[in-house]
Amino acid sequence: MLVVAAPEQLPVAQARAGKPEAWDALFRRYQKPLYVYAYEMVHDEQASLDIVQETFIAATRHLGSLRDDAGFGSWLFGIAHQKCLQRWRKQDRESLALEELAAAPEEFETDPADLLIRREQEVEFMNLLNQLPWPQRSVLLLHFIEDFALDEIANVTATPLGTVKSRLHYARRALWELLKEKVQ
Amino acid sequence: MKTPRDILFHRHRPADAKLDRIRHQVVAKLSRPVAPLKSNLPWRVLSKLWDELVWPCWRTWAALAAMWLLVLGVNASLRDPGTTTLANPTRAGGMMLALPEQERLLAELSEPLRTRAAASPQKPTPAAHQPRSDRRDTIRRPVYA
Repeated sequence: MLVVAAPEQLPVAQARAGKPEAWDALFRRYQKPLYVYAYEMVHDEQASLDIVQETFIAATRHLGSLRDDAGFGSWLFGIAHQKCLQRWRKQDRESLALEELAAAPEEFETDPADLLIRREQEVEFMNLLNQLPWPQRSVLLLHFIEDFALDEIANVTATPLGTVKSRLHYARRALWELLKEKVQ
Repeated sequence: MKTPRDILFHRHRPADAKLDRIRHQVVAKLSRPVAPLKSNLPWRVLSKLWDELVWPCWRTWAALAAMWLLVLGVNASLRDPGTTTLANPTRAGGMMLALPEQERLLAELSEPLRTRAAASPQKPTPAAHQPRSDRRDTIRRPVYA
């Protein structure tokens, strides 16, 4: 199982000082999560690689706008999310009307590891993930890939916290129902 | 059993090499040494200002052209017509004809000066180079006759 590096271990301060080794470490840490996120959003390998590269370049240019070093990850994903959104607007105008706008649940489980998937369920899991509306998929991926907190996801996607809760709740419930069906 | 994260990361493992390449490219651009600052800083600043402010700005060029047109217009309107006679060939011909007349007038005016100069007594010529004793003789010699 992959281990996510704690934000305080990331050499953001050194990167601010312009040290290439620090940038290398930061990019090494986030290149795969960013790529996975981008690919699952735009479903195009070359476009996803371009998004990762553009995100890296934008990060090197605009690191000064990051106030809190601990928020580097969500800040980086925020850049990538905007780039995915731009691609998505160009390519695939999936209707936002599918978005679930019901009231957010009061509480729900926040650990992405609590959803364990059997090997025979992996294909179904990916199929369901791809069937989710774009906003729900985005929230769920951020939850799965980086285990971002709800407020961080809200920052990344630039949406209100209540909307993020709602999207995550309904996306997870849809996944659970599918997995339960498959098990039965 | 796998978490969704494991599944997603495993699925995209083939992209690792490409991602490494992208990372190296971006970091290589960062590590490229910056060119040493040259001593001719004012020239660099002026050059940069020119490149960024003046050269690409069509408004600047339009304003400069308008100023030049204004200067030319004002210059043309304030010019004295008499000063432009040399440019006129017919007037230049007239000037050439008037030149002997002016020379004659100048000669007439300078004639009295010349005659006055001829009438005035000649100044004593400076003593010739001779011994001082000889010169004293010429002064003190008594006249008996």
